[in-house]
Amino acid sequence: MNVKPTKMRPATPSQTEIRKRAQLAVLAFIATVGMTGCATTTTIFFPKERAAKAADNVIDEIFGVPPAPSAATSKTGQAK
Amino acid sequence: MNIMNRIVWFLLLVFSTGLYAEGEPNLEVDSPSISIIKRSMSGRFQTLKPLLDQGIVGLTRDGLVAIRMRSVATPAERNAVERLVTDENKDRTTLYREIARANGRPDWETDLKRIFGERWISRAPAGWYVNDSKGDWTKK
Repeated sequence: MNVKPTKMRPATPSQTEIRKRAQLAVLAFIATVGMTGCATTTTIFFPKERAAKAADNVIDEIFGVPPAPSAATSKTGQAK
Repeated sequence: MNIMNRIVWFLLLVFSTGLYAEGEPNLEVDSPSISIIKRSMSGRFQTLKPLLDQGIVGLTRDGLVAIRMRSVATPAERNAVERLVTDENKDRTTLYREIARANGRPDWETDLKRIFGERWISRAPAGWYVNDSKGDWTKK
């Protein structure tokens, strides 16, 4: 019996398969972004400059130094 | 909604909440307990300042104070100085711990002590004694 070889055709993914792959891609993206974000937030370095500023403010309070006038106040210390 | 969609939404929720919750550190936080400590330290400073001026007490690099001259006249005076230094160091230690805790980072306490130590020494007026890097007393 002579069997005719069948022609190999590339399998076209079904709609369900495409949706599943898209969902997997989204899942992988979210996981990657999330993990990176978590890793970044857990390794926040100690903010030295902020700590120094906070320390200066505390020291000013202890020393009894009056707070520096902000930009919203004039030279005479009066609010604009 | 199939299982994959649920997983996607769950992860989205978890990660977005986690990232949003982690705010910028606020080291100038002023909680009620921090305010009480600062008031206590301000009140004590009037008594501590003459001792710092005379070099009886000095500033250490870890943000505390220490007795430099133990040859204070009477035992009663010596006890008073020791009590003052103990109270001051207790307040300072609590202050650093409270600031670290208020930021959700109790592990920052040591760093805060070091930075406060640097700032206290830097802001100290001339004539005060401070600990140098070797632990020796140096007059500013």
